Amino acid sequence: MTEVELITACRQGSSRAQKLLYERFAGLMLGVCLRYLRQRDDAEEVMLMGFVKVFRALEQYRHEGSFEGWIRRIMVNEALGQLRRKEPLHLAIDDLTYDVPTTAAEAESQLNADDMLALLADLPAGYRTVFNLYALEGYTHPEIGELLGISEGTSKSQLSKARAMLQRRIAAANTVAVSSTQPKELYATGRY
Amino acid sequence: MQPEDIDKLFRQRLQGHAPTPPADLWSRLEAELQPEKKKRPMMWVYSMAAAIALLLMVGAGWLLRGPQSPTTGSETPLAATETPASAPASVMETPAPEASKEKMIAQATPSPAPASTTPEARPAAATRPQASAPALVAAASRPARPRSAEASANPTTKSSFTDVAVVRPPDAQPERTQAAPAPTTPAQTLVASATPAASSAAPVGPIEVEVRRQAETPAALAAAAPDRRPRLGGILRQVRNAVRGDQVNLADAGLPETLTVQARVAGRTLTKTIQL
Repeated sequence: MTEVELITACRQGSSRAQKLLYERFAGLMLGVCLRYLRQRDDAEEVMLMGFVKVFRALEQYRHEGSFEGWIRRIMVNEALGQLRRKEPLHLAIDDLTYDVPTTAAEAESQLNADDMLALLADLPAGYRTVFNLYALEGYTHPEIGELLGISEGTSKSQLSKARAMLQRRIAAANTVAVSSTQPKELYATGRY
Repeated sequence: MQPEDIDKLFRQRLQGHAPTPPADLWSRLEAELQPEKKKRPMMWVYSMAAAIALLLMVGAGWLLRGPQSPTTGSETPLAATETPASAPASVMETPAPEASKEKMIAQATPSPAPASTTPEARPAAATRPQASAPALVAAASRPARPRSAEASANPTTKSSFTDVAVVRPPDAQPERTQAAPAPTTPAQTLVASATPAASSAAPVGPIEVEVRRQAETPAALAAAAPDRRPRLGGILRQVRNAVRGDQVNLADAGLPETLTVQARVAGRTLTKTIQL
């Protein structure tokens, strides 16, 4: 069944088609939701509610752009809503700047998807959200500013802070892998 | 490592990342989608049920409240009297010059005399404000008649009263008492049908003055209608009246008091409604 056929069948209320559509996108969308939400339960809840919205809004899908992108946008919006409820976006500017250690390429290659998700989950909600929207969803800073109700400049600064923190942690993970000497984890001081 | 590199790294590793969702998530989603499907038919069922119930209620009210004995209906002591002297000349063209309009109203108000004969009629008569001097005058002006028969024929006194005074010219039968057994709404039609029969006796043609007075006194209500049913019945009856094109009597439905004077002179009908 092609995507168009599947959408048509879902619009007609076919339960079987809905299940097929769900199965086709559930894994990917859970991956999206997990990037935004720290807790797996929350991510699953968001995915569920996202799919409910997808099925209810299916009539409005105009076959413009990819269907996956359309679903993804719904999921992202749902995730942002959940974040506002669960983890208020701490967009406070972190003034501390650190020297970013250069990381060996090998260390990066060792990280799998779950490690990356864990790194993201450790980020403050604001950093994580901006990084997700910019680096993984491809939103621009003006778009992010509008989505989150922040200025473009704040979005930019959040992004650079998020990047710096991630780099540091990847380096840390690498260092842990190489030796037992561990640099002080400043983010763990509760200052974010 | 450039800042953009870390974006790329995450994108590469996470773009196609599709963890397996828990197995029960689909059933939860299905349950979530289900109410949406069922909501509309259910609303239909509810609205249909409500409409049917309403129709049944109206129908039952119609059947129960319609052609019925006067005891259950909230109607009308109907005193049909022919008094040559009490015909008000101002309202209708009759050869009864000495009668005044005031007297006519007084006539319309059931006089205490018949009311006192029936125990049920008493509280309603007592609560009526107009049952005072003019009424007494009117009653006194009338010759003594077996009026108790009329009153006993109309044992009900409820929140509304319809007093029909059929006034005849003097050359008609001098004293004729019509005791109409006041059913609920057919009372009006009964009186109307009774009039042509009387017209054969009267050469000038009958002049029928119908004064309908709706009293909404709490005491009268309490005495006559202890429960709400007569009120509901009254409303239903008024609805039926409206459907038939009859006079809608708002007082029966618990609305302010009105006084309707309707005079039928041979073919002409004069109607005057006074909101008290």
